[in-house]
Amino acid sequence: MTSLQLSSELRRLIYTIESIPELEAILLLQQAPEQVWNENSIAQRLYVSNQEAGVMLQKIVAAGICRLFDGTPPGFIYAPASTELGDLINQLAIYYPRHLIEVTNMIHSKANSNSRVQQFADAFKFFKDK
Amino acid sequence: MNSDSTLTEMLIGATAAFYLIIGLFFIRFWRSTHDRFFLFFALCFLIEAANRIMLGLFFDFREASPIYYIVRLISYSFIIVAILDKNRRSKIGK
Amino acid sequence: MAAVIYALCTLTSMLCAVLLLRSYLKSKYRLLYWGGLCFVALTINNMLLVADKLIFPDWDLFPLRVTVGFLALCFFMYGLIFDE
Repeated sequence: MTSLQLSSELRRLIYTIESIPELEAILLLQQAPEQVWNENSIAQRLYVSNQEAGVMLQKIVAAGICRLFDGTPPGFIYAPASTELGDLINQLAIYYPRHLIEVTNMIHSKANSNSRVQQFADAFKFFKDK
Repeated sequence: MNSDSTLTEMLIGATAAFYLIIGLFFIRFWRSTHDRFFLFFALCFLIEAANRIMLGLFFDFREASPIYYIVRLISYSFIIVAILDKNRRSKIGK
Repeated sequence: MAAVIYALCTLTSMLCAVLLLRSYLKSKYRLLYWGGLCFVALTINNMLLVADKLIFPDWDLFPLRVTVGFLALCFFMYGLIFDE
């Protein structure tokens, strides 16, 4: 496959991510979809505090990327809300390692106004895909 | 030279400054979004700024030849490129 | 040849205005409104250029065109500074 372009849907997904640890948490979930994660396991893998990991997981659940798993032990499991979202995360998993600096800059630089300003560029697309 | 011309000169200068500033805004958007669409717009506005500066410095610039408007057309062509580029990529897409 | 240049300028700015305002109506993102207004005014400016050079060669519309061009940018400046 030729190298992945940064489509506008993927760009928009990246803008919703607030920090690099959050992005890496999402990719952790994606890479081990059968595994049940909790605050401790995420915190350990990403070198963040349990509290931060908990906050990130709440946000990831709210975004429809994972869901609560109440088995034994309880935790969170990878469950993208739609196939499009799952595809986008798969694309992100390919794109991110190859464009580390670009994605990091996008996340760190004023993510909120980015997604709004991006609408200016998107206005010029003749065919609104989706 | 009639009395209009001082005001006109002033407006040409002010317009040049505004084109420059708007161009810089687009440079900023380009750097934060990494979307080269904004780079094309920045180039358009910055070229127009340079065009106006030339017009302000050499008033004959507009009378002697149509080059002032050719430069404007070149700057607009960057907008065309931006639009084509944005639509080309969205078709290749995923 | 000159007529082609002026016409192309007019069409390009008109296309930008249409795309921006169409998107504004859909998303209500204010910057699209100000950008659209800017390009509407630039389109008017380009039409005045056509009028100046080709339709009314006896009149000098240059001061008017400079003023309209300046106003066009004022719209966009306002939008970029306050409504981004």
